[in-house]
This record gives sequence, structure tokens and C-alpha cells, in this order.
Amino acid sequence: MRVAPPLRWVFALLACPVLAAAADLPATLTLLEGPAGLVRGVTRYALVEGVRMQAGDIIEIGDKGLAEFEFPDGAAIAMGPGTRMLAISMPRGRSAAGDFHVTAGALKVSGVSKDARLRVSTPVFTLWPAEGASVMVVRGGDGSVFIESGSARLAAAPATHNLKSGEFFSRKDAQKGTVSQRPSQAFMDAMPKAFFDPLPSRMARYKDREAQPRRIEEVSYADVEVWLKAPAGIRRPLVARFESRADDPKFRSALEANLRFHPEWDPILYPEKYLPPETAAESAGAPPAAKK
Amino acid sequence: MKLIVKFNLVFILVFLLGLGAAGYVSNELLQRNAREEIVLNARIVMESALAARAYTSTQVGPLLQTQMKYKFLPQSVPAYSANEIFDVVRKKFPEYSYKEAVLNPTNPRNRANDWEADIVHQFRNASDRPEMIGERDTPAGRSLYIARPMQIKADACLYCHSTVDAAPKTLVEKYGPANGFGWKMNEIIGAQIVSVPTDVPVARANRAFQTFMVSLTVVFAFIFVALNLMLWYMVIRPVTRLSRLADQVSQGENMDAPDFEVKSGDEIGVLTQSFNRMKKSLVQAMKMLEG
Repeated sequence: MRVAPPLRWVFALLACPVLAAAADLPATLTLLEGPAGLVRGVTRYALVEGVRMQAGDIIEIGDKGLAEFEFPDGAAIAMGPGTRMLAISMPRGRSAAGDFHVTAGALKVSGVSKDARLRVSTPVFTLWPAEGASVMVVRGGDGSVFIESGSARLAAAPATHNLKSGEFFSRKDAQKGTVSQRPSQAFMDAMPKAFFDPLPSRMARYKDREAQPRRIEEVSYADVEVWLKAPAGIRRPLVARFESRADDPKFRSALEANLRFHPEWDPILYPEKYLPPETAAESAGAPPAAKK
Repeated sequence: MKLIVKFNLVFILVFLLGLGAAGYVSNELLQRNAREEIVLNARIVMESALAARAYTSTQVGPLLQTQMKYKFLPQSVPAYSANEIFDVVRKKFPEYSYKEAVLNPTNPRNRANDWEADIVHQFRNASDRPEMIGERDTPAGRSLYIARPMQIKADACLYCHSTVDAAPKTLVEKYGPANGFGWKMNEIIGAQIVSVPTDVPVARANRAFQTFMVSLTVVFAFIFVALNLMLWYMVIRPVTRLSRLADQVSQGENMDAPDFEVKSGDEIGVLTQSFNRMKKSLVQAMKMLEG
């Protein structure tokens, strides 16, 4: 069927919002093997394929699991067994964008285009994948990154490195990070087998099919303990998020027991200590029934 | 000389000539077939190796590209896969061999030995020669070989074999920087050589020839006996008896003997009837003379 030229423009204009919406899709879980959990808000969920990632999501992959999130532009983030990741921010756009923090595990970021704005921080280093694919493994105080293709910028205090394809960064405990031309055997041993191959794309299957995670229960202290004890820049914004959980006696007692790891919870747990002096005096003199 | 002797002499002469001619033709045919079979076997082996190479370079290699950035996987190399597949085949057919003999190989197991190097040099001296077929003696017996030149025709080859700096780091890490570099476009770097044993098909052809000749001899012998028996019962015996009676009648003896029994309608039967008629006429003539 032939379409008259003016009508073609009408169709094109009508199609634009649809295409734009497709391009603005957030990262979608397109591949999941084994159990994986999601903490969204103050609730713990079980992940299922098709779930869209949101800012603030905490994703935890089981010890034998594997998950892959794909962006509409072809970029993908794969999480290996035992990986914990927080999506700090996820701005939507035509290219992959997001700020993530990984406390432990193995991560592969691939298909990164020049327009992508991705940042992955870990307790050992922070990585800005510029293009191509990179793999990182973080265990305790050790962290390593291999640039499979493309390039990436890496900051590991006190140095910054511009890593090229084939280069390998490694840092053990508090030692100085080193860049070498080949990945170490220990790194390859720690890598999930699936990361040795290109990440498969299954975005077409879930582009128009969003799934909701399966609710389990509200988070306990143990569920988010790692994050509440994370570096200050990560854990402090979480106080407002989990403040409501301090009403749960078990959660509160755990917070109190571990207060030295997250002192920013002190005003939440003991607000009276932070009242202005006159208000504090009034509160002290007030009858117990008036005290909340 | 008796009829049967003449007959048998001619029969044996024909038999020997026939046996000799059939033997010569069949032997030539079987030997030619055996050689064609050997060459065909070698070609099948060569084509299988080429198929393994093509499959590896077009399908396996691309899948392993990412892994190759971590560790060199020889499974991605066409020559390696062809050799590995053929090694499995050799477990059942140890006398067959396939080798990608290279003068300056990356993998030491592909290094050309003396006679293989000669073949490579012959290809280098005549670069338009597509194939070479020959025979050679090996410890396992005589074998036929087919060789084809390995010429660099794609840039992809030079990715691993031009210079150490240009080669994948993982390849240098595995094989070192000493060998397998410095290859040039259009250079004949080696030869694919398939060797197949000639003994087995030739022995099979010889066995077939022997079986054929023995069978032919048995058939001739059977025919010889059958023809002799037929000749004896159908010709020689009745003719001998008829001639003996004719002798007696001609001498006036045994004139009242009964007629010779006519058992068949063939030429001997007709001769017997004629003889009986002649004997009756003779008896009547004799009686008329005596009367």
C-alpha cells in the first residue's frame, strides 16, 4: 500500500512519542537465574524478570544467582552471584544513565555507548565506563576491574586512571592500586563464567511487558544492615528512607546496638538529645504522660 | 586322437586364455578402483578438515572472541579444531593422518618435518599448483598423501601472525613471542597434508582378485565336467556303439540283431534311425541275393 507523502509525515509525528517512550524505558531485568531480592522503599520483594529498576532499589543476587538489567540503548549491567547493588539515581533518557553502588560481588557493564552516563562506585574504587564493556569484582577490601573493550575512567584514592581496552586495575586492601596489561588469574577465577561471554540481549521480550516484583515483607535490620553500615555518602540518605522502620522494636533495638556504625541514626532514636536547650528543659520537667 | 581329447584340449586352451584375459582386466580394474578409493578417502579427510576449519572460523571463533580477551583459547583457531577433530578420528583409524605443516608455526606441533617442508617449498616454487598427490613409505606401510598449499589470503590471519605487538596478548602469553609471526599476505606458509594407507585398499583389491579368479576357475571346472559328461553320454557313447554295430554288419555278422534303440530326436537319433533303415535294407538285399 502506498502512502501519500503528507500522510507519511503525519504517521511519523504520531510514531515519535511511541519511539521516545520506548527509548526512555528504565533498565529492565531481562535475565534472572536463581533467587534474587529487591528492597524497594521499606519493603522486601522477590525479583522476577520484567521488573523495571527504580532509583533507590537495592538488589541482592543469591549465592548461585545471576541477573542482567538492560537499558533500551543496548547497554546492560549483569550482576554475578552474591552481588549487592544500590541504584542511587536512575535518570531517564535516550542513553543508559545511572549511579550505582556495589558493596560486594561481580558486575559486568557492557554495550556502553559514548552518550551513556553511568557511574559505579564500590568501597575500593569508582568507575565511569565510557564505552564498551568492563568487568569488576569486589570482595571485602579487594577490588579489580578489567576493561574488555572500550575505555573507562577509574578513581581509587589517591589516583585516577584512564583505562583502555585490555587494561586491568587491581587493588588489595589499602595498598596502592596497580594497572597491568593482563587480568590476574585470581580475578578470572572470581569472575562468574557467564561474564566471559557477551551478555545476551532479551530486551525485546520485556520491552512491552512490565512485571511487578513479588512482595515478601517489610525489611528487617538484617536485610539492610550492609547498607546502613555503608560509607557515609551511601548510608546517610537512607536514614530518611528507613526512618519509619525505627518504630519496629526489633529494628530499633538493632539500630541501637549498632549505633556506632551509623551515628546519623542517633537523632532518630534519641530526638530528645537534639532538642534546643529550653525545649529540652521543658521536656525534662514535663510530666511523663506528656512525653512521647 | 579321440574326439573327447580334441574337445578337451580346445576347451582347456579357451579356458586358459579366458582366465588370463579376465584376470588381467579385473586386476587392472580392481587396482585402479583401489587407488581411486584411496584418493577419495584422502579427499574426504581433507574436506572434513576444511569443514572443521570453516565451522571454527565462522561460528566458534566469534563466540569465543570475548573469552579470548581473558585467556587464549586454541579452540578458536581453525587449525587447532581440525587437528583435534582428526585426533578423535585417528583413535579408530590410526593409520590415517592430517597435519597442517607450517614452516614457522605458532603451535610447535604444527611444525613441518623434512618431507613436509619439501612439499611446502614445492608449493612456494609453483604457487599456482592447487594440489599435490604422491606416495611414500612409512613405518606403518606405504601411504598416499594429498597436499594443498596454505596461503595467507585474509587480513584476519595477520591479526595473530604479523607482529608480536599486533597479536592478541593472550596468544603471546600462551605461545611466546618467538614463533608464528612475520607472516605476509599471499605467502604460502605451509601445507595441509592428508596421508592415507594404501595397503588396506590394495590388499582388499588383491583379495577380491583372488576370490574372483578362484570363482572363475571353479565355474570353468564345473562347465568342463558337465560338458564332458554330456559329450560322453549324448555323443561318444551312442556313436561308439553304433560304429561297433556298423562294423559287425559290414562284416556280415550279427545281421539279426534287434534295431538300435532310438531314444532321442536329435542328430544322433536321426543317425540311428538312418542306420536301422540301412541295416534293414542290407538284410533284405542279402536275403534276395541268397534266395
